[in-house]
Amino acid sequence: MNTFPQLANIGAGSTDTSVGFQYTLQSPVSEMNIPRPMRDQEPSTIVNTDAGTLQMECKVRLPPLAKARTARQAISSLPNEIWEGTVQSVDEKARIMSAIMEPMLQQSISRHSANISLDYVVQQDLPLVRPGAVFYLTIFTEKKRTSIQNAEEIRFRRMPAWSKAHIKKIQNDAVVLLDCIEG
Amino acid sequence: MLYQPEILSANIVVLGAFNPAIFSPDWLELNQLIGPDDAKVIRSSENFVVTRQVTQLESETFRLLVEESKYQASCTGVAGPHIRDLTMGVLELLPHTPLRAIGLNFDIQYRFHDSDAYHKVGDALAPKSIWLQVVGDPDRAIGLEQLRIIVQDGKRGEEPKSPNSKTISVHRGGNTLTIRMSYNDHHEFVDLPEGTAATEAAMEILKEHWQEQLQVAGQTFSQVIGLAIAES
Amino acid sequence: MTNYGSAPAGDEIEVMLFGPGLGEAIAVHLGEGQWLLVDSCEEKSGKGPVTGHYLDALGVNPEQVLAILSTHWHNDHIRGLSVLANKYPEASLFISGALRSTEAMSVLSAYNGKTAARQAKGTSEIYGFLTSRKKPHRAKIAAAQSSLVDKVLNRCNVKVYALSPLQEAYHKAIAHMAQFMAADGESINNAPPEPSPNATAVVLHIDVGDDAILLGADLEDNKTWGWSAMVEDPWVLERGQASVYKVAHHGSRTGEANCVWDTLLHKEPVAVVTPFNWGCHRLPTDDDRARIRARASAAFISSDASRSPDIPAGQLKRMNAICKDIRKVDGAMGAVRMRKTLNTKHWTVELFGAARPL
Repeated sequence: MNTFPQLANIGAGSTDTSVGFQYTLQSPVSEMNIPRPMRDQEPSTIVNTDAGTLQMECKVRLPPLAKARTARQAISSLPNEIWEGTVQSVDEKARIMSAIMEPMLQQSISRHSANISLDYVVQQDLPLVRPGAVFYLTIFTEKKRTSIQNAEEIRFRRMPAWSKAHIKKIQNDAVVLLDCIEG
Repeated sequence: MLYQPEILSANIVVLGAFNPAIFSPDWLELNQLIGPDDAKVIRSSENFVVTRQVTQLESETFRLLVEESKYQASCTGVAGPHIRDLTMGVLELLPHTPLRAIGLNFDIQYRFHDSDAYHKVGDALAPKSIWLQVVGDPDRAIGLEQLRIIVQDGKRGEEPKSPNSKTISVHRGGNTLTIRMSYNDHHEFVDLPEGTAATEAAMEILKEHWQEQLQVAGQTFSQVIGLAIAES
Repeated sequence: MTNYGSAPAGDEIEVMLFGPGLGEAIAVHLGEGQWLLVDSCEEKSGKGPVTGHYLDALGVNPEQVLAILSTHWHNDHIRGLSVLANKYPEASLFISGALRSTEAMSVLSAYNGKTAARQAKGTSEIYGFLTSRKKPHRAKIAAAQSSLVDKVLNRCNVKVYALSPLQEAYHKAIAHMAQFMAADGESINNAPPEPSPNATAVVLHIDVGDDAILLGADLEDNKTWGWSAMVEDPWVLERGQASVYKVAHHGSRTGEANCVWDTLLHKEPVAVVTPFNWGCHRLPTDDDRARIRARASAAFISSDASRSPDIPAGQLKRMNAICKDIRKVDGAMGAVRMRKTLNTKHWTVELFGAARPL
């Protein structure tokens, strides 16, 4: 008997897993909702709390232009190629990662190696950069209201951290694996 | 060039029993499925909703819509495997979620530069001869608006061998001379092997099939358009 | 499809070395249609192991494969290994003894692609390799002085021995593996690209009739776990000198040891090497090639194909804005085949695909 919850318990309903055609029409979320920090200004925010007003200093540093381009929510976009890369080594001093990349869309293109500056990795992904890490280098075109632009982005793959349940499963499996080998 | 693709979108739909309230940006960030900047964007988005009945999150790269019976992850920025990875991560964290089905969806919009070629596609997929007789008025234009083809295992007239299927849809685009094509790869979780959770089966489908179906979708669409233009 | 001609005659010995630029696989005909496979690579990702295709082309039946050895767990030596294990279900499977540890098995289990939703192409191959056999036909370990094959073929003794890993390599392996073990709460990305160190590599000595073959795997020189330590063992020195040498570690300076050429090999053997092309690293270097040529009667490389990118020009231009030193990893597949009749002196060498004289 399968010990997992049975489908019958979750009731009948639609089994349609398709969706209507979707592409975004609105302006990029980041433009709408994230306040644009001004380079020459010392921004500050006044927050009203129950205890009274509180003035907070919010210094924000813009990323360097032409590097670390965060993925923009284009009105429409088309990937020309998505390269799945695996980091082979990282030179922290030179801020370069070496990777082997494999194309996801055009299988006729073979694997390639390359060195990539960490300046092109978005800030939140920098802690993920290590040997074995996987990233996606997407070469794409994005169409905004009146123009079409070429763009590239690098995003690192995120997986859940190891859990106690995982560790236990690994330990049990390791014992079984050892038994697969004589000696 | 008669036509070219101009938009690709991808999304994943999972049917089952979910608790939408779990899917907060805090939970996703704590479990390392999103980064701190993504979490910040989500929290400050005006589309941000987390309730017991529905959760909607939107970052620069994905949108997540979770209802009690449905999970849907879509690409908001350029389409990519990050929604696959996000969904696999979610299923890994919630291994006991009862699931009914999973669908891998890919949509491409094509822009035609040649109106003859554009009309040839519609005329080949939906021949107009019957409609012309029915409508009978030469001053009225008849055109294909939407077509849906389902492909199942097994022969016509027999019971399908499995509930899995592929569905290809063709829609007239919102703009002139555009055609939108959708591809749905549908899998249902019935008769799973002993000891296999539906979430495991779903992760296996995502791991083994997402990339392959992305390629198949593009090839299928190109083939349909190419054959339609050649036939007319 | 490459035309490999016919299978070797029953009394012919053959060493067939494949290497596309990042990858290595060897098929050895021991005589009377009996084969040994060492490591595995694929011509293109997902297309299956090249040695499997080769044996199919020669019309070799699955039961003719005696043994399959995985010398060590570097990604360029293991692609398609699990496919080979399943394709030849009666072959004995061997792994490096230095990798039979709880630490190593924990790493394999963590990165088998099933424990968690992690894509780990390399380690999942080893996992599939090990789990393809059930008791009593379990995988076996290869370690210094262990025998992999001991048969009489063509009325000659055919013995395949492992000359490594040495005892010191075991400690090194455990320490190496320990850093990749899963820890509660730790952020995990993917499998380590080099799960096992070169010290764990299995060097094979194949005694056939009055001759021998030395397959150097990726072993490097070191006083405690490498070549220099190995040749201090009198047992090793008693092995027959080899007339064919698969050069260790892609001909690198670190894989080089005079003691190998001076004690384990005939004077001026036939030398074959597989390249290792990754990024701006290219093995063997020009100096390595010169060094090997100077010691061998004839030297060959399995692939000398161009590494220029084969990415469409427009896309390459855009990638060059972000990436530097873009090079093709998988060069054209090439193979070097050496055959000779048992108990004769001269090897006939044939080059296939992108293989060239060194």
